[in-house]
Amino acid sequence: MVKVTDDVRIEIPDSSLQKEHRILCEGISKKIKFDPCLKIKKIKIQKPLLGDEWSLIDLIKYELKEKNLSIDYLALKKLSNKLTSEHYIKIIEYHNEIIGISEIEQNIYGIAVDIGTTTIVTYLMDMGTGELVGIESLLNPQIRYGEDVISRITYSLKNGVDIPHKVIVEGINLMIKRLCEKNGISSDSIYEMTTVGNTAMHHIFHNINPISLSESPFAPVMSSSIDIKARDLGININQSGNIHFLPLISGFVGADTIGVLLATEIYKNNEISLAIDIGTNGELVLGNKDIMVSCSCAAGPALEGGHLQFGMRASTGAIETIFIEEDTFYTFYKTIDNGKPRGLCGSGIIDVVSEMLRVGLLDSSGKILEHNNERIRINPLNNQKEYVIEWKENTDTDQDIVITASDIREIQLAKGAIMTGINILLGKLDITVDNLERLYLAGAFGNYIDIKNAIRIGLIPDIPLDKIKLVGNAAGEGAKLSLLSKEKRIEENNINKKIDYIELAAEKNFNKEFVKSLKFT
Amino acid sequence: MVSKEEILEGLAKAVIDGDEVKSEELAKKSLELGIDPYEALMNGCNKGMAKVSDLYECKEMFVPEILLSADAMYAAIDILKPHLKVDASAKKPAKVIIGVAQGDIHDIGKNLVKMMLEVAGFILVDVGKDVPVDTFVKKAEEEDADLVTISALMTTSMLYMEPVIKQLKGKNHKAKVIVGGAPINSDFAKKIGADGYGKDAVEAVKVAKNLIGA
Repeated sequence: MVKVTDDVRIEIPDSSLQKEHRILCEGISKKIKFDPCLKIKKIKIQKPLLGDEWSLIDLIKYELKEKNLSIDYLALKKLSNKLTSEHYIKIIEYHNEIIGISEIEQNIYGIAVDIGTTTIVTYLMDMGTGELVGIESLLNPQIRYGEDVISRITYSLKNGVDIPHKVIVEGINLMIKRLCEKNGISSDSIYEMTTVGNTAMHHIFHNINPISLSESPFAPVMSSSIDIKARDLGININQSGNIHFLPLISGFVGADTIGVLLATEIYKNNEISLAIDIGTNGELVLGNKDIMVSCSCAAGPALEGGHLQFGMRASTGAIETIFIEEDTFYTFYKTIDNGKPRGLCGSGIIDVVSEMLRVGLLDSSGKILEHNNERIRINPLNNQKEYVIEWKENTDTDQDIVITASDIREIQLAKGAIMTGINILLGKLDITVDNLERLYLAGAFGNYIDIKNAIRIGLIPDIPLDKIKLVGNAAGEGAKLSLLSKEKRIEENNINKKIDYIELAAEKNFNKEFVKSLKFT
Repeated sequence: MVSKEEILEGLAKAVIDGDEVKSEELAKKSLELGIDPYEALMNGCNKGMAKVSDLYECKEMFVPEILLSADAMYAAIDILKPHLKVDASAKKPAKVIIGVAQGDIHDIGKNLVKMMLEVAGFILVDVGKDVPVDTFVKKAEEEDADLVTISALMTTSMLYMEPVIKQLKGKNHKAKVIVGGAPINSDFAKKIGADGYGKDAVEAVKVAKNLIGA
C-alpha cells in the first residue's frame, strides 16, 4: 500500500473522469480496397432431401463451392436450428473455417482495438461496408498496477499476469458493451477483433507472462501475428469470432508500431521517412521500402505531465498553450474548456519550455536564468529556482502554478531520450536530419502540440514544416486497416521481418548521444 | 606573478566551469610555483567539485555539465597525483564495488556515481552493467570491499538488489550496500535491507562517506 506523507494530487482514472479527458481517436483514414479477411457469404440453403446422403455441412460447402471448409464447434452447435427450412443465410468465414451462420438481414461487425499503456480505443466497423460505426475509449484499467510498461511487467513478475490480463479483458468488454448499446447491435454480430498494442500489452492481453521482457536481451515470447478464438480470451464478441493481434517487432517495439507503419506505408515508399509515436514510450521507425530501423525510447511520463509539480492530463483547467511576454515574463495562456488553470498538460509543457528559451528565461543547458523579476524565485525548501506561470489567486489551486528547475530537468531527460533514438537511427542509416524527406508524428501528441515549439526544444528534428505530417492515432488506424484489408494483413507479417530493431542502451555511442541530446539547441 | 590563492581559486573555477584545458594548465602551474599538490587538490579541485555538487543538487547544473566538471577534475588530478607525498600513516582509502543490477544495461547514472566517488577519494572497482547477483558478491569478497553500490533504472532489475544484500549479510561480509537509480526510493532501500540510498550522485557520495565514517 502507498502511504501519503505529503501533499498529493490524486487523478482518478475511472470512467467518470474519462469523459472529460481528451483522447485521440482519429487517425488518418487511408483509402484502401475493402477486402477483409473475414468473409461474409450469402447463400440459399436447401432443405436436405430424404435419401440424399448429405449432411447440413455438405449442403453449405456445396453452395459455397468450397470443399476444404471446417466449422467451428460452437457454430456447429447452432447449425441445427438454422436450417430447418429452405432460406437465405449468411455464412461468416475466417481462414477456411465457418465461424458463424446468421440470418440474412443481420449486419456483421468487426472491431479494431488499440491497447495503449495509458488509453484503450475501440473502433466498431461494419464488415459489410467497411464503414466506421462508433468509437469508444477508456483509460487503461491496468494503470492501477503502474503507469508505464516496466512497472506493469514488474507487477506481473511479482504477482502473476492473471490480474492485469483480467482487467484489460474487462476493459475491452466494457467498451464492446457500450458500443453495442449505443448502436443497438448484438455483441454476437461482431465476428472479428484486430488488436494493436506494445509488446508488454500484447503479452498481458494474451495472459502470457511478460517476464522475458524484464531483462536484457528483452526477448518477446513470440513476434508473428496471432489468431485466437474470442472464447479462449473471454472477449465478449461472438464466441466463435477471431481475435487477431498484429505482429511485434521486438521486446519494446510492438504491434502498435506495425499499426503506424500500415497507416503510413513507409515500407512501400522511396522517400526516407521517420515515424515518431510519442507516448509514455516513444517508438521510432526510420527508413523506406529498402531498409528500416526501429527503436524504443524510454521518454517517461514527463511529456504527458507526469512527474512534474504542476503536470496533469489533458482535462479541464490544463494549460494547453502558453505565450510568455518578453521582459515582463507575463504569461498569456489558454486552458482546456477555458477552466481556471490547474496545471500544465503535454502541449502546455512543450510551449512553456520553448517560450522560456525564447525570452531568455532558460539557457541551452536547461538552467533557469536569474532576472530581477518576481516571477523567477528560489524555493527556500530545496534551493531550486522556479518560474511562476500564474499566481494562485487566478488559479483553481491554492498554490502558484510554477515550473521548477527539477521539472525542466525531467523534460530534458524525456526529450533527450527521443532525440538520442533519432540520432542513433540516423547514424545506422548513415544519414543526417537533412536527408529526412518525411516526418510522421503519431499519437495524441502530434495532434495537439505546437510543432515549432517541439522543434525549438529539440523534441523533434528541425526540418521544414511541410515535410511533417500529423497522422493522429496511426496505431489504431493500423488495426482498422488490418481488419478491413486482407492485403494489409499479409503485409503486416512481411514488414515485421524487414525491420531491424536497435537496442539503444546497448549501442556504443548511446551515453555520449544521450548526454548531447539533453541540451536545448 | 600569480598568488597561490589565485591558482587555487582558478582550479576550483575550472572544475566548476568544466574547463579541462584550464584545470590542466593551472595544475601544472601550481607545481611550478611549488604549491603542495595535496593543497591544490583539496583547496582547489575538491572545493570546485563541492560547489558542483551543490549546483547539481539545486538543479542549476545537469548531467552534461557535471561530466565536463569531472573531466576537468580528472585532468588536474592526473597532473598532481604523481607529486603527492605518500603518507604511510594515512588511512587506506575505502574500496567500492560498483555496477548496474542484472537485466539492466543503462549505466549513465552508475558512471556518474563512480566518478563522484573517485573524486571523493574512494577506490572504485567497476563491474559494469547487467551484473549477476553472484558477481557482486564474488567481487566484494575478492576485493575485500568496504562498500557495494548497485544501480538500476528499470523496476524489474531492482528486484536483483535484495539477493546481493542477503548473500553478503549471509556471509557476514563487512561491505555496506548502497542502492540507487531512478525507480528506487529510501523506503525500497530500507525494505530490502540496504545500508544506504542515494537519490542522486551527490547524495550517494555523502551516504558513502557516512557509512565509511570518513
